[in-house]
Amino acid sequence: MTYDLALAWRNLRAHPVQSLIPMIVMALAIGLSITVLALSDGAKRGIVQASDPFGVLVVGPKGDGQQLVLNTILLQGAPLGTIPPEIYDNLAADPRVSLAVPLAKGDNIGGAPIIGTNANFFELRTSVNAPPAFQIGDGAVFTDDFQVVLGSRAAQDLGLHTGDSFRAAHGVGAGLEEDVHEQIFTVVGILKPGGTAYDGAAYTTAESVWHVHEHEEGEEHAEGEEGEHEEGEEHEETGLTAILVQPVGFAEANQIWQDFYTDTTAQAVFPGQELGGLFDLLNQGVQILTVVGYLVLGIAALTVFLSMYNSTISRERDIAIMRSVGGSRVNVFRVVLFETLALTIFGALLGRLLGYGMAAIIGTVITQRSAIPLPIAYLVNLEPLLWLLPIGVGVLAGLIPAGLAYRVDVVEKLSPT
Amino acid sequence: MNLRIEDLSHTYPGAEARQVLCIDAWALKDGDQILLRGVSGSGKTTLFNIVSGLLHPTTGAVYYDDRPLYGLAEAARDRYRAQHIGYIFQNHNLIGALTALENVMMPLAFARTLTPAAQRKRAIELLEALELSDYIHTLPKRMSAGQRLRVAVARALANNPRVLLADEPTAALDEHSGEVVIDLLQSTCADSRAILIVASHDPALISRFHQRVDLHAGQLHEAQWA
Ligand SMILES: Nc1ncnc2c1ncn2[C@@H]1O[C@H](COP(=O)(O)OP(=O)(O)OP(=O)(O)O)[C@@H](O)[C@H]1O
Ligand SMILES: [Mg+2]
Repeated sequence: MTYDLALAWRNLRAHPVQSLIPMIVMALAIGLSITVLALSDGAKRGIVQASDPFGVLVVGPKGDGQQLVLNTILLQGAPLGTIPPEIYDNLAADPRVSLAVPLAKGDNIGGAPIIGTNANFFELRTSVNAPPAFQIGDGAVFTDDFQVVLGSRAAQDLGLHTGDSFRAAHGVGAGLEEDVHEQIFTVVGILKPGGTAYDGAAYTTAESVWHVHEHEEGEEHAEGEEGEHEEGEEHEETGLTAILVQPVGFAEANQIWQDFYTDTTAQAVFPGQELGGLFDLLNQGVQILTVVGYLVLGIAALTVFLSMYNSTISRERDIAIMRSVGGSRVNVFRVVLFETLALTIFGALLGRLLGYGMAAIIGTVITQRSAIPLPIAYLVNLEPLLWLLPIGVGVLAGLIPAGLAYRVDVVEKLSPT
Repeated sequence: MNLRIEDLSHTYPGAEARQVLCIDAWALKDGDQILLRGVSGSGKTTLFNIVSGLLHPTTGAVYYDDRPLYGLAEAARDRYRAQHIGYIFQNHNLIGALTALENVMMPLAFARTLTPAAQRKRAIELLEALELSDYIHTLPKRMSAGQRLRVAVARALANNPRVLLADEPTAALDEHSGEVVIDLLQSTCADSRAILIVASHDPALISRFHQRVDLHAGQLHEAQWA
C-alpha cells in the first residue's frame, strides 16, 4: 500500500506536465466554486451584519422597498426621494415606538455621504440589551449644527481628525470643485469601527444638511436662473430620506406597517423581508455559477481522465514489469488510482488556496468600493461536499485507466517490440 | 524446493499457431545450476515466462514442491513470484522512472516480508555487492547496459529466491563484467541452495556449468557433464 503510494507519487513526478495540467484544471474548478460560494456567503453575512443595528422598520418615500433598504442600510444607490419631517415627529411621539431615528442623506465630502440625523442615532442597538451600535471612539457626539461625527473609515479615508474642519460638497457621490459649498463643518467626534456601511459616512444634525440646501437655493434664486422652482421643492429639501423605527413590540411593528400601507407619501418596510428578496436574487446568481462550476468540474474530470489514460497507455510496459516482479493486478490498479486521486486531491487543495484567496481579494475590493462588509469565511458546511465531489470525480476518471493497468498482458508488454 | 514440469506444451495464439514448447518431464532440485542453451527463437524466454508463472502454458503443469503453480489464483501466483522466483529478463526490464534503488526495492515491497527500512537496507547491500555503490540513486537511462543488467540481477536476488531464472545475463557485458555477474549468480545460488537456470549461448559459460540442457524444436535434451 505505502509502496503503491510511493510509486504513484514517483510516476506523477516523472511526468510533471501531464500531472500539472489536470491538477490546475481541477484547481480552477474547485477554486471557481469556492470563490462564488464564499463571496455569496460573505455577502449574506455582511448584509445581515450591516443591517443588524437598523431596527425593525424602515420608513421612507413610496417606491421600491428593496431600493429603500439598500439605500438606507447599505448606503447603495440614490435615495428614492424625501418624506416630510412631520412623519418623524409623529413617530417619535407615538407610544408604540421605542426609538425613531431620522436620516437625511444628501451631501457628501470626498465620497463619504453626510447623513443628517439626531442623538437618537447613537441609541441604535442590535438588540435591547446590546451596547449602542454606533459608539464614539474619539471626541463627542455633535451638539450643534455643522458639527460632524465621522465614521471610522470615513475619517481614515479623508484623513480627518477630531477638531479638523472641511467644506461640504453638494449632491450624492464625489462632488466637482464648483459644487463645493461655502459651509464649513467641524469634526467633533469619530465613531468606533462597526463593520457596516455606516463606517464610511459622516453624521451631523438634519438641520445642517437642510441648511446647505437652503443656502444653495437662496443663491440660485438670487441669480434668477431657476425660475421654475415650485413651492413644494423647498419643503422637499428639508425632508428626510428615511426613518429607522424600533417599535416596542412585534404587534406594534405590524400596526405601524399597516398604518403606512395606506399612506400616499411614505411606506414602511421590514428590512429583513426586503433583504430576503435580495438573497433570493443572490441565490439565483449563485445557482447559475454553480452550474458553471459543475461544468468546469466535468471538464476537469475529463482532463484528469485523458491525462491518466495517456500515461497508463504509455506505461503499459512499466506496469508489466511491476507485475513480472511480483506486483499483483490490484497493486497496479491501485497505483493508477492513487495517481488519479493525488491529482484531484492536490488540485482540490490548490483550488482552495485559489478560491478563498480570490474571494478574499474580491471581497476586500468590494468592501473598499461599496462599504458593504464582505467577510470571507471557511465554508464549514460545504467543505465536505467540496472534497467529496473532486474525489468522486477523480475515482470515476481513474477507473478506466486503472482498469487498463489491471488488464495489461504482462508477457506481451514485456516482449522487446 | 524442487521444480517439476510435466507434459508441458505451449502454442502462442495467432495465425500460424506453431507449437513453441513440448516438454514431457523435467525435474530440478535444490542447488541445481543449469545452463539452458538454444538458438534464437527456440523458446528459452517462453519457458522462463511459464516457469515464473507469467505465462499460462497451453497444456501441462509446473510444480513447485509438488504444488501446481497454475493451480494458484493469479494474485497468489504474483505473490509467489515476488517471494520465491527471481527473474533476470533478457532486456533487463527496469522501470525508467525509478532509480536503481527503487527498482531493486520493488519485489521487496510487493513480497511484504520486510519492513520498508529493512527493504531499503537489503537493496543497498545488493547494489553494493554488484559494484553499483555509486549508482544507487541513478536512473536506468544514465547507466550502461552492463550496469543496468547488474541492477536487474540485484532486483532478481532481492527476495533470496528459491529459483533464479537468468535470460541471457551476459549478452551485453564484456568478459570481466560477465564473469562478475555469473560468479555472483552461481555463488549466491550455491550458498542458498537455490535453483539457478541460465539461458545463454555464450560459449564462455559452458565450462562453468555441470548441468547443461539444450532446447531444440521445443524439446529439452539433457546433457549431463561427465
Ligand atoms: N508474445 C508472442 N506471441 C507470439 N509468438 C511469440 C511470442 N513470443 C515469442 N513468440 C514466438 O515463440 C518462439 C520462441 O520465442 P522466445 O522468445 O521464447 O525465443 P528465445 O529462445 O528466447 O529467443 P532469443 O534467443 O532470440 O531470445 C519464437 O518463434 C517467437 O516468434
Ligand atoms: Mg529470449
